[in-house]
Amino acid sequence: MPVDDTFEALAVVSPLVEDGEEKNQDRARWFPHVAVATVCDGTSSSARSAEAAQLVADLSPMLFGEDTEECLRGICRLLTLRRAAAQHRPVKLAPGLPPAMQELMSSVARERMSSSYQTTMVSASFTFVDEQVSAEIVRCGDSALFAYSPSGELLLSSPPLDAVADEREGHGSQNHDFTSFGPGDELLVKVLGTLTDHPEIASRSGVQARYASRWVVCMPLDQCERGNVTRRLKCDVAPLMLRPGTLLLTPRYNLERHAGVQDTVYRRLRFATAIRAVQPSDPVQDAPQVVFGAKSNLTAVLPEHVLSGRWVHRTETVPADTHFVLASDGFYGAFDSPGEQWKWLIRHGKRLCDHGSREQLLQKLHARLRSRDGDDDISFIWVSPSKSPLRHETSAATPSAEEE
Amino acid sequence: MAYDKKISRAFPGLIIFLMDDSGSMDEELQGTSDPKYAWVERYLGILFKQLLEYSTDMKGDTPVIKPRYFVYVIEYGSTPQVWNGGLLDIETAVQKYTEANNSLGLQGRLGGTDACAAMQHAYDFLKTAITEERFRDSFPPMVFHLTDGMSHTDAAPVVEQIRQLSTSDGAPLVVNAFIGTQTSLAYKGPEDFPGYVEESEAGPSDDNVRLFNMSSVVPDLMRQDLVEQGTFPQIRAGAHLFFDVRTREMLKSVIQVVGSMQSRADR
Repeated sequence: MPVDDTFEALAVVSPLVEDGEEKNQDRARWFPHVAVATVCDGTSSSARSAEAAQLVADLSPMLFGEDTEECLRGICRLLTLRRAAAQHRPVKLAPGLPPAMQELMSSVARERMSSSYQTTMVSASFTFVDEQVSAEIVRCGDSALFAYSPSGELLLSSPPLDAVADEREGHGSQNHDFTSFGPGDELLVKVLGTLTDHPEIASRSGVQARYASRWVVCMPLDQCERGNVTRRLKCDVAPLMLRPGTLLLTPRYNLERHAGVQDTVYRRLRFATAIRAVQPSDPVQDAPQVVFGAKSNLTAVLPEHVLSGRWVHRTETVPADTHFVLASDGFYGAFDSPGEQWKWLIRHGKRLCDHGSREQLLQKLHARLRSRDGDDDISFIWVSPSKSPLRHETSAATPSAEEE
Repeated sequence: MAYDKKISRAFPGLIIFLMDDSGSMDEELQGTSDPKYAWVERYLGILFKQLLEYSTDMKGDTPVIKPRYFVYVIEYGSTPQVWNGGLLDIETAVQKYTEANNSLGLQGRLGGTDACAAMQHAYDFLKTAITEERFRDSFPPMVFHLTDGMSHTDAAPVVEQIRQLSTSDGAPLVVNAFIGTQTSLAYKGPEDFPGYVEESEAGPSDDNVRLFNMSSVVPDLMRQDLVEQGTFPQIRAGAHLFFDVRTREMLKSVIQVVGSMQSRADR
């Protein structure tokens, strides 16, 4: 199937406007012929960061070739060359500047140029493999990637997350029963059968009927192994939150691969991103909140932190019906949690495809940011499987200005 | 979450400096041959330039200053005096400092040490300024107090009034830096300074304990900045913004605490 036909994407950029001036340092690019999505966020304090964001976004498809690291280093070399050229340009001071300030402002300008051309980046290349999607991810800094099942379960999240107790009335007594199941963890489970044997679960799982026989329904019984906490915190993968009654769906191959005991009923199940949790009722509403963790004032940026090794390159395999969101912190910073972010997208998907309606929505997001820790450029790309009911119910024909 | 508002032109930062200019500031700073006031002016100049840098964007090859910081400098001894007329945007402050040959006019010439009068002046200014449209939703103001001696008066009740004020992002942060005092904490310098978490660590001097209790607890994001930028890489969570300045390196780092106020605007 041609790549162009397998994914759809909505790319949105909305600059911060202050005193009539646009900041406009975010860039979001979708390359449909190669199914690559990239979001870059030029650093506020860095001169010419918008140019850096544009350059990195334009070159991003090259990252998904044979040698990603070498390609990324090449892009960083380009940024440092541009920086060097900018530093050699003469400073043009504003007319009328008092003599005492002229030398000082020249010095300030040179300081500014010494840290020019900085940007964050998150880029992903999507490939269909059998009934799954392989997402190859390259990321540096606090621009983020999220992955959601069609029912809104969070499968991947690059920003750090905290699990908080559900404080809604009547749910407090259940708080202690929740347990997380994430990278490195292993559970003892009871195999209940294939998804074909459980039509009610199948209807809530989001798995298409023709693939139901490839999925196995399991009941978690006990924890066998706990993943390394430090590694987990650095991981891009969100843990699943389990409570009494939660069932797990795992691809058949995942269960068979980790069979430590020749027992067809009780098995050990190691965490994998393909595993889904089916909560007793709507998972997005009843699961405990996974919220964004504590913010940091600092972020890694290109080119500096690529050269010092602070960047991520990984591949995740997720179900074929997974939705992906790549976003600058100006977008996800408007929400308390990935779940809230997803609900906003689902609620407004149709309006986001219409330019006029989109502007109104985004201005509301800007207002929300202003009421929090401050307004910012907003940018995101929503990548979804073609013909996804979620997008087709909400989507209209107008392509984004950022698409090729 | 408090203390996480970005500093910007729409929501600028406000810093009130209370600078002790009593006679003892004319004495040499320990380990140097220059008077204390000279070192204060020197490092404050570096800070002013840094704040100016944070306030400067490049439009092509031209630096353009956007007023993201405002300063109000009170010099005091027996009586408080306001430097250059009052509230200044950072560009004007730097210009005046530069035109005065990189000086605030400190000379150790203002006699005794009446911290209460200085704090009262700061409070009287702040209680009105904090309600102004440009500051009321900004990152909270910082009151930065630098002294080298025992005050003849107790400023604690006035500081308590200052800490009852607030923007929508939190209460003002009160920083107290005491040049030349001794405490119970053992450390070599900024590189291993753990911060004062318990009152007993600031003792045994009653003046230290009073200044410790008058100092705000460092907000998490600010502490993160101080650690990640290497200003105080070992400072503990829950430390008060109270500093004993034993060396010029400590003085430089303590003044840099103001720079960590840049919050999330500068990444």
